[in-house]
Amino acid sequence: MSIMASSATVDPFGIMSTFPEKVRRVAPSTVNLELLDDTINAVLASWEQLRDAPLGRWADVPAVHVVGRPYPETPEQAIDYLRDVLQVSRSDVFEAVGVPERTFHNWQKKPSTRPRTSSLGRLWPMVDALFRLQAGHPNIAGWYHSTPAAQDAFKAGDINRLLQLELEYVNAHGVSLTAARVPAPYFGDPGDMVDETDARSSGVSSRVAAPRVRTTKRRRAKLPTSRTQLDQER
Amino acid sequence: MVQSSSDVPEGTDEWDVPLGGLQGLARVMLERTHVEAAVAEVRFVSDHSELPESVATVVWEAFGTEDFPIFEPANQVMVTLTITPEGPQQAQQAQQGWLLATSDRATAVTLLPATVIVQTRNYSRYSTSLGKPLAKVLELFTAATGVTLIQRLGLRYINRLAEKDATTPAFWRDHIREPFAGPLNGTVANLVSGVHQQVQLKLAETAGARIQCGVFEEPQVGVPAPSPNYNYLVDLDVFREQATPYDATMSANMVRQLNRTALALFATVLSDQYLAQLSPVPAERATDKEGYDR
Repeated sequence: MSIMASSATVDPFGIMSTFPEKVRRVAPSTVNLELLDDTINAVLASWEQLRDAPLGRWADVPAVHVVGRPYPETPEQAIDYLRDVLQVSRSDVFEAVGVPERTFHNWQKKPSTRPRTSSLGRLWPMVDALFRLQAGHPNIAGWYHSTPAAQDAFKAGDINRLLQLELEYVNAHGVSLTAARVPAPYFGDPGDMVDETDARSSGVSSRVAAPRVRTTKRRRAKLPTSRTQLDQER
Repeated sequence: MVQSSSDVPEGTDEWDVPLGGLQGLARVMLERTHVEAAVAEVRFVSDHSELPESVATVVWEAFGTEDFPIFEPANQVMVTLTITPEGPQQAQQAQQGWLLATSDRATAVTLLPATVIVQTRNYSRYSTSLGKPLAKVLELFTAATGVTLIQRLGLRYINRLAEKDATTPAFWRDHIREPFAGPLNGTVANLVSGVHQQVQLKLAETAGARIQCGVFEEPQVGVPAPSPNYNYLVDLDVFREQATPYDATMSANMVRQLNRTALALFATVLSDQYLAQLSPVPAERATDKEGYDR
């Protein structure tokens, strides 16, 4: 558990007196953000960070519209969740997570069928990463649209790079990432070995919808059993 | 710093007089407000960056392990902005301490090498929710750590005002005093989608306050989404930055005065009519319902 506090502005050279009074910032009494309601946490964070918000279209759009929204349950919801968190188009999301647009429309046409794992691309790992980032960032969309490197990382589907950039932002702005209840991301089981017990007990694993275990028998290499056979192969 | 006792109403003392010459209110509880967080913080002077577990355990055991069964590490990152001829320079300092919390984490006490924080979202009245717990933990903390010099006292209330009829931000213009309502009273009132302002007050030579307030849209849950509802948040932070040797009685009095000041400021933000609607009742008659005793 972490909390973050700002100390008062230090002015050993007496320079501050040459600036207008509004430059001074008082040191607020510390609040443990982890004990606050999610909505209030987000509102206070956006208020505190307004001075750092980028200028432009996204400056006054904190991610309040996704605060409190539950973790998406279906791939269609997941696509729209990513769209809303970063305030990008669906096409951008399709490209970033490697899901063809026609696949998305197929999901919409047949909501009862379970999508094939191979068609999901990087969808759930990306949702998992951004679900946590938006909870800890005062304005994830504003940050995204003012950070070209983040846009490149998202478009390339490079989740690790996206997380790294967020950490760099946090360090640069003196914000404790853990101060805003950001548990470590969990990307599920990326391989094709699924422990069915784990998949049932873990909500994340089931959402990841890892590939099925291949059950067909593999062909074994046959070794020659007699000299005649060996001679024939030669 | 404090008005003389001859100026104060009967039944109160000089520490019941709000700072800054603000108009004091009777000791009341407001039964229709929702305190998201009530925080009392005391910062000491200390060179240490880590509070040993053994020291924290002593405080925890004396404070009450049954009422506060959660005991876990807590970190604090202090950010210091230094203005130099080359420009601003930012430095971070981490402090490692411990958190004691009730099982539902509604109330927590954070112990850091130089700071004690009592925070609760189950606020009933000042004396029981903040005053007494703070006094108790301060006594234990100073005895266990040996810190003697207080650097800063702070009291913070984060109040969320919600009304079911508040479907537009403009709703709040009749509930907030005009200077704080700002553009909600102007010609663009109907166009306002959100408001946030921060006001810093100098209440005395060593005391101040920061008021953050504004409108925000309550997140919508459910499909189709119901009509939007706008809440008003009043974040009051009243503090005294003055190096003072720790004295239990003096510290308690100073925080109590901050509390009275916070109530006076709260009444300065809200209109008289709305304050009356929040069902103020005398503290002596108040039940244990959620409210204020400031």
